[in-house]
Amino acid sequence: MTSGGAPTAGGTGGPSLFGGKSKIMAVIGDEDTVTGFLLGGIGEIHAKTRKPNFLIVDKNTKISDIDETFKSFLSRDDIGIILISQYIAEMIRGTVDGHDKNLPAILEIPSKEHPYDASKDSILRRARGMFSVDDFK
Amino acid sequence: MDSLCEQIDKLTIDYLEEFGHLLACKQLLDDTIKQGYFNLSRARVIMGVNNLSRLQYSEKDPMIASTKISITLTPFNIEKQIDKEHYDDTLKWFGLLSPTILKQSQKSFQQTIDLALETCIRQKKILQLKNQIEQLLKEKHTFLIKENFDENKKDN
Repeated sequence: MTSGGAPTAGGTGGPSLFGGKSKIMAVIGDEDTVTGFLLGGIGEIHAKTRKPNFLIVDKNTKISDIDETFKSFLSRDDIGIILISQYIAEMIRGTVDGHDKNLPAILEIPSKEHPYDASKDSILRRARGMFSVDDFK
Repeated sequence: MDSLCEQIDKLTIDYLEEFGHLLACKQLLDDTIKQGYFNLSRARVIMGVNNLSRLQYSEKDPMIASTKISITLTPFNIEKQIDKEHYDDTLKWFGLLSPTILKQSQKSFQQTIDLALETCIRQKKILQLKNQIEQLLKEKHTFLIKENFDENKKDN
């Protein structure tokens, strides 16, 4: 991975000098996950809409709120990747699995208390189960 | 037909290799992020529970991401961009003299971000390979049905 030396023109969502569209990463996780990734520098609050690109999920967060936030991230054109803790993706599995467009890309990540389980990963499940015995005749 | 089968074989090998790479990538991401969480917890013990939480997130208006990404669709590629114009070391949110362990945690999460980008690229690649193989398998299936039909006609 290379890091760019030049600033993007006009903030997020605009074209970059690398020929690709400049976007940000969103994160949905528990407080440690979000704090960690914000330490990594991906946090942003949209200048116009005042909406953050992150959501901290705790025991009081309603599933409908998680679902709504995830869908709002999907519809934003300045978000290129959504990082979501796998145990939270499980809560809104229908919505996560229903997304089959190129962008934004979705990546399920482990959380502190819930280890990553490859059998639940939406992308891996789509990638597996391709061949049947007949295909090898 | 032979070249079709050859293509399917080659793509299948690519697909299986790529699947292996993807799993390895995910494992590495898992290990790196765990290190990040571990160091974050250790930093919290040193700094105090209330000094390393969402309450310290910047009030700065607007908050702008300094780590951005540039995505191209064909070929699919994602590159990390550091926005130097809006660069703001988020370590400062938690105090000017943060413990080394917090800096280490930050580093782990920065590495996790790099691994996340690589994983996304590999995920995309594997789904593309799968689509290509499925397409070729459909062609092969159509071809075999036609061949069967022609042979039956000949026998009759």
